[in-house]
Amino acid sequence: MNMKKIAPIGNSERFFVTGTTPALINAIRRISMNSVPVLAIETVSFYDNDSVMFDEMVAHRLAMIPLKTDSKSYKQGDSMKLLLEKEGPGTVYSGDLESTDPKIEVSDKKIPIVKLKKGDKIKLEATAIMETGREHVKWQSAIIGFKQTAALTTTKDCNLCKECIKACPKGLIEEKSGKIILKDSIECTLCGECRDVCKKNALEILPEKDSFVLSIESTGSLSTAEIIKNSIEVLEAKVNDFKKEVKKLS
Amino acid sequence: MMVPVRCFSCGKAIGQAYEEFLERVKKGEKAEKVLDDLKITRYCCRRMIFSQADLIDDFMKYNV
Repeated sequence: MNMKKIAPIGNSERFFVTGTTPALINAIRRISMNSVPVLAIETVSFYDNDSVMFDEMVAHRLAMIPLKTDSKSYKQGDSMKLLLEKEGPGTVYSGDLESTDPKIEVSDKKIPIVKLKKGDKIKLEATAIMETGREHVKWQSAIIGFKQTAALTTTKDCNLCKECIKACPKGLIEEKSGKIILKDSIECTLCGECRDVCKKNALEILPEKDSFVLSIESTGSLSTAEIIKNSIEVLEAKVNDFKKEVKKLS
Repeated sequence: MMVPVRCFSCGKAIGQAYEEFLERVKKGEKAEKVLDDLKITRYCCRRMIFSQADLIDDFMKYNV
């Protein structure tokens, strides 16, 4: 297995992975979405809320805020407290949340929570717990996906009519020394436009079996490296558990 | 009532981008460019921002 970092799209980091199977990549994908524990607000006690939003709405908004998690000192089920106190007029931002643990903070300080009029007060105590995405999306660690790269082949019937070059919506096909080739197998979306437009049926474009583009965008709680590392640890624990059960049988 | 904290479809935090988006679009920048700049690339997240109508200011007029 070989892994190489390639140009990111927006905040998504992308990796070019070769020499593995879709099953393994997909296992990592599923685990990082629903089994890597991160912190998110679960219960909120209100002391004061004069805003136009109901307590439940404010609590829901608070829960969705990603918290930077220290996955070394916090394990699944652990909890910590955050405090919020503000008086209007003005907007209450996620940055106004005061964490009781200096290692934990909100990942973005500019997320608006609620607006307050002059004299309005809000005061609350929130408890964040370490859980997994299986319970609720607020504990999802990453937005992650993978795709297979493309391989283009032509047969002898190809008469170099260049229809496929014109048809490619991303402009990735070109002619090089009398042959039709794919410039970039990573950016190709496998739309099949080049194959459909070929009158001679001389062109085929198929996904490669063992090379992938893995794109990972952290929700803000963990770094990309931590997400991959933690999901591998979870997978390892699951396999070891399975191993133990199998041993009991023999 | 206010801009959602996360994208409904993918779960990316997008709430922080709304105020800057409004400000820059009001100044005359193209919405498309501002979203690219704010690194909101997927169309699920993009619709969260440009289809948002903040109503909280209207609610605040009637609150006693």
